Amino acid sequence: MSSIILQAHSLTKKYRHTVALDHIDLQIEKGKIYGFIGQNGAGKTTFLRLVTGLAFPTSGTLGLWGKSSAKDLQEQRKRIGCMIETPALFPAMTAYQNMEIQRIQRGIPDKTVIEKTLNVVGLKDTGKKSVRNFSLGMRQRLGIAIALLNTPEFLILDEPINGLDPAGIVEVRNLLKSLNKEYGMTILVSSHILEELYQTATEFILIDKGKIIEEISDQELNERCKRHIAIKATDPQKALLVLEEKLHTENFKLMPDGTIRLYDYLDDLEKVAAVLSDAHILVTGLSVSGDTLEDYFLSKIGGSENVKSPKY
Amino acid sequence: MLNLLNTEFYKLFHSRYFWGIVTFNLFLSSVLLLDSIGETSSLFFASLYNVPILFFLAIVFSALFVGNDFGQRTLQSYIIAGHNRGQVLLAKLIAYQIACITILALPLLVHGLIGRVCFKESFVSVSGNLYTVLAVVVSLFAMCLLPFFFALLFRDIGKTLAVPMVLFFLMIFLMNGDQALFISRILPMGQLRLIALQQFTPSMVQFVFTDFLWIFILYFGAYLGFRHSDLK
Repeated sequence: MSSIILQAHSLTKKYRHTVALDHIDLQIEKGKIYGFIGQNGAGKTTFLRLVTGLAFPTSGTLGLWGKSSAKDLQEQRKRIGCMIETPALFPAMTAYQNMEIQRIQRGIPDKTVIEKTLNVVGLKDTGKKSVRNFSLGMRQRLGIAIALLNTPEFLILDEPINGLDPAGIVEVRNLLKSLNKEYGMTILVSSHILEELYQTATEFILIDKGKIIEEISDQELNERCKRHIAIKATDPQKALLVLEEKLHTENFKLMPDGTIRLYDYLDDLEKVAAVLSDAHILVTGLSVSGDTLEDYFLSKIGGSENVKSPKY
Repeated sequence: MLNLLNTEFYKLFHSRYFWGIVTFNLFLSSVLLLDSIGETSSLFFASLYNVPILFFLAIVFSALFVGNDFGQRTLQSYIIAGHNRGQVLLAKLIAYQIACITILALPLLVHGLIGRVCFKESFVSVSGNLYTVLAVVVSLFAMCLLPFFFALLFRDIGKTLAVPMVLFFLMIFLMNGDQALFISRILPMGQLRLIALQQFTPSMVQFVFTDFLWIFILYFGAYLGFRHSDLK
């Protein structure tokens, strides 16, 4: 049996003036937790909307469990649970009634599944309180509960920890991990809180301007984000030559913002400083640090200068 | 399909606005009877005479039941769960039409019964009782399909309310203009008024045929728009 849950080949989605997804090639394998990372407007939600059938691709193919015809895709979507953007809820109804609607439409005969799922997300005691009186975090939990109602094989969550308090974030993280471990559930999570994603996901998909820029496992990421000496110098090119000649190492990297990352001599900061000083290079910053997922992502999209910032 | 229908009816029976609109329409229709009673031959037709005016309540209902479902993205959950778009549309339409006919036809039933029991009115129409009821139901169906069509087109509560409401006032305006009789014959809303006045010209069959034409155009328009549209 194939371990590929989702396969996208040259998937493209164009709107009138923009290309939201540009020839995406992607595979999602069974039993893994994928972190979907990208800036606002990078194409994450568009991709998820194509997967869930809310939108249609302009070109390219999409396959779920090896099936790619329109009718088969529709059938396979019954095996998916998802929450895209904000949870879709009936504000005038209670949590139980919202769940009941989903239970009926999915044709789940067992009514006790509602209580069980509400219990899992900590909403069992909301009683007759209508959803409009829920906090943002409670709505988010209810959205997750709805996504879990049919015990899906593939769970898609778009920004699931938005609005959750720190305890709630930890609960969701543990929940996702246990679902993955106990049921072998494949999970695709998109989030802006990259540190949280780093602690949850086992695979990372980096998307920018509608293109997948990298797929990387947590081991590879750890390797790439390993500890280093960050050197800021007035003349980085000369500093690189000095490091190579005097310290006999090539284990360094020049980052887009001009910072040098030296992966050797981590315990000998003074020696590095002395070598650069002897070569009359003005060092403006020298510290031991490690990349975070956020740093890594920023470096992949071309540095923090590429991050969209508000203009006033 | 059965699951979708069950869901829609669950939503309908648990919605306060549906029962609120039903009650308010019954009240408003009863108040308007005071004006229309002199125009027609019985309480039933007097009540029917007011249905076109009360159409605005069906528009409000369509915005809340269909437009809001798109706005809150709750209808999208059917698609995500792997339901066919055609079936989603049909289930929504069935629940919506039953709700609209309940809203608009309940006063007819209540007033018709009151007329029969309290005033010994006999329900006699020039074209026969069955045909009259059939024509009323088909006209109501066609009339209520108009806001449904716009709800599917705009997929938003605001425009679903605004555009049919503008058309409602436009139709009222046209039905009071120089071409009132002609306009009334081709618009389901006008046909209801003509049935209430028992003016079945040219014939009841033509009324029903026109209504079916409206139903066909609006339903397929809604289906074609919804079938391949990107949802929020």
